[in-house]
Amino acid sequence: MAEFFAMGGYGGYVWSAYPVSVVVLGYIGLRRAARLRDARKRAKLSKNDSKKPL
Amino acid sequence: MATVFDTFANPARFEALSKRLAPFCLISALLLIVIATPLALAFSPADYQQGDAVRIKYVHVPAAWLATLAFTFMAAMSAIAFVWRHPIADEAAKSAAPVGLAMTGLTLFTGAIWGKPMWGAWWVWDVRLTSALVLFFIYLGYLAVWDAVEDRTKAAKYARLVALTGFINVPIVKFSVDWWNSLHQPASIIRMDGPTIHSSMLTPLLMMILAYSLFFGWFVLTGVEASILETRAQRRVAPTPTPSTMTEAPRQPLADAASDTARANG
Repeated sequence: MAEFFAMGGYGGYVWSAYPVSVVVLGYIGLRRAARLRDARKRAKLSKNDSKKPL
Repeated sequence: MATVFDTFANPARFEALSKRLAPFCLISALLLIVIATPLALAFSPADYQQGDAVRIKYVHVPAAWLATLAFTFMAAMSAIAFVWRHPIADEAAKSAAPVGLAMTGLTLFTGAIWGKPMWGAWWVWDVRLTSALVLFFIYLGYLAVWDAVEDRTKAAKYARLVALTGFINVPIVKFSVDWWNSLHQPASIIRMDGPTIHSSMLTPLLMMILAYSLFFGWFVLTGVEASILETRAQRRVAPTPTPSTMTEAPRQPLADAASDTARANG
């Protein structure tokens, strides 16, 4: 197990590349998901508004 | 081809398509990453020269692939927007830019931490590395245009120019290792004589590349869908035509396209 984490002496390099990749993908993914959720909510709200009599 | 084009160009149909296709893209991307990561970290062999440092490849190459794919997509969409003047093409190009920027940054980062143990330097002014850095700045410039120019029609026009001229850099990134002497290793997957990597390494690598590409698909679909919805909501709040929609008659701005959708939806 320790051998696996050591990565033949390259552990520090390998074990920084993967988490950073996950964080970057996760960050942009979550931001986009939040924007879509927000847009769907607002589109729904404005649709209801436009149905109301003036 | 015409029907494919219509599906993507009509906001109502696009929305319906995106709702079905986007979740599929995201779920399969996540599944592929979950399967490929243990293959990349544990079950694929260490390189005979690079040892376990070669495992950085499985996050570096997909990021670099997506960095260039995203820009190629943006240039293609900009060309379509330029010829057919369709606002969804502009939105598609704009939606791809953040993921392209992030992936170029990730390429530079993972490249640096792969370069340090292999070449003895985090960074060298090598043509491959430098052209990737230039790509990073072109992405920044493209996004800055959308941010800085207030009038949407003008912003779209300038952004198209940045994407189409900036595209010159993409083949330079890709072929720099063949055209010049580079410290960076040459292509080992997309080659005339076929891949030069053993299947034990190629399988997780291709899975990662596919996963990143599917993530890209999800990212663009949801980005365009969000902008259609945002414009429609805005349009309902303030239904007066903007000056840009009146001066440029042939173009159908997204606001109009979205209101078509609203009519279609009843």
